[in-house]
Amino acid sequence: MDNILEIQNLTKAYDDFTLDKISLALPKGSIMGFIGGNGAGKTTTIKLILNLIHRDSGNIKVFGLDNLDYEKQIKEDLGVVFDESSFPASMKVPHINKVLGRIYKNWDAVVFSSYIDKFGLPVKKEIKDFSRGMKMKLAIAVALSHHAKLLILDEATSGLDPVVRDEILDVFLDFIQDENHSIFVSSHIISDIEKVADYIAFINNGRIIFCESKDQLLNNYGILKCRTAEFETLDRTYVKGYRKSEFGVEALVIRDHFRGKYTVDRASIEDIMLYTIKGESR
Amino acid sequence: MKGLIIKDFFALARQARIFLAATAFYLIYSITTKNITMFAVMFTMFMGFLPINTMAFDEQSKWNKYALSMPLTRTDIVLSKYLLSGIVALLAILVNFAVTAILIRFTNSATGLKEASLYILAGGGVLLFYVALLLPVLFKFGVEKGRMLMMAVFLAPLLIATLLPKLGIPWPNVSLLEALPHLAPPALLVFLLISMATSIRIYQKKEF
Repeated sequence: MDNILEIQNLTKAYDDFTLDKISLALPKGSIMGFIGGNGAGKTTTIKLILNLIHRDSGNIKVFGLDNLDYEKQIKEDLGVVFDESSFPASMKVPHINKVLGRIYKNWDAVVFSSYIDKFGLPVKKEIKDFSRGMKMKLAIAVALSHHAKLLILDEATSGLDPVVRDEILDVFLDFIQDENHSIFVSSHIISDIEKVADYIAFINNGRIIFCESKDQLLNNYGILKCRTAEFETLDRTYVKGYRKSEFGVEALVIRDHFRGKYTVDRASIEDIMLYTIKGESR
Repeated sequence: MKGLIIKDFFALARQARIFLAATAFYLIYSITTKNITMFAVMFTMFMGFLPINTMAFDEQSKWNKYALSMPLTRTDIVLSKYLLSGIVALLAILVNFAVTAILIRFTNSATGLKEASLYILAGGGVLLFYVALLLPVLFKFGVEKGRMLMMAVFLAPLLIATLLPKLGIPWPNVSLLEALPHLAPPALLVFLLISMATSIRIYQKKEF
């Protein structure tokens, strides 16, 4: 089993949106950033992985097992963090420990309490008095306290201040030190993803635009700046998107093809995402 | 399943004060007015609301979606609410029995303990009957959307009972009423099983 998560031709149709035959694979021991704008299909995909909604077609394998046939077994080894905390408002940290200790076979109270300490979470306060940052840290502590092999996070860092986000990213990097661990994290905060991800899957309008290693992406693509007249002579098969202004054209291009002939700057993941969406919509 | 039940009790803790205050009020009221059934009726009703309240809390905190990301099946989640209702019904019966026994002892009431026990058991049965009636509705529509329907479901049995004579259908005769203590438990059990199966089917199809 080389891929810890494998999605093939996954489809789910709604009246106004279709997740259209998406495929992606997350190799063991790595972090995949799942990026895309609001409503691109990130949450739908994650809900399908968790069987919270029913797929129309395609298949999903987690730990090499079908996600529907082995649902319960898979979920023992899954740590999931949604974009909100979902514990009843009157619960406190020790209550959560008691409840989850009876839900997860591998629940580890010692690990849980070490994360609670590490994150500085109050044990006497009710969840309803937690700040958003505290709630997210709590959810992450829960996800990390039953020896999960795969973390699935849906917009877990959005709405948090940069300091907390950075703290959480460090925890992810720590988690991934174990080569049997992997993370699948969706976000529209590209800078976070760029910091930690090994692979990047980009979804737009229900379709996967690319799913590649980050290094490859950063190597392959570049930003070419030239005058409009010059741009018209370029081979368009190597141009993935462009932006025209009165000073000339900035284009996302396959770097190798233009190397030596033009100055091609490095493209950030955000550039790649933005230009590709523009290229798509033309 | 055990985890879910414990979670429900922790979630209910936020209502504990109101619950205890209301219980104490009716206890004192029953003692001072020497109306021993009043407490039993009110307490059974309070207890009956608890499983429904936990569903409202689950809805508010989006617990269901989260719970389903854990090693819990949809059937587990549905059955946990029935189990909670069973526990609550049992607690209602036990507390009512204890309180009634004490009240009878100190108020020289006309109602005997044997007669009262029958009422108390019937109360537990009515609680479970309503749970069986309501849970499928709540699983389908949620507590927020299901509120209006819940009222309808609550009133339906009363309405039917008052309408029956007007429609020319006679009230059950005495022999049927005498057989009721024997007929009701198995009938309730069958009704609960049908309700469970319906709730599970509804919940399986649900998307979160």
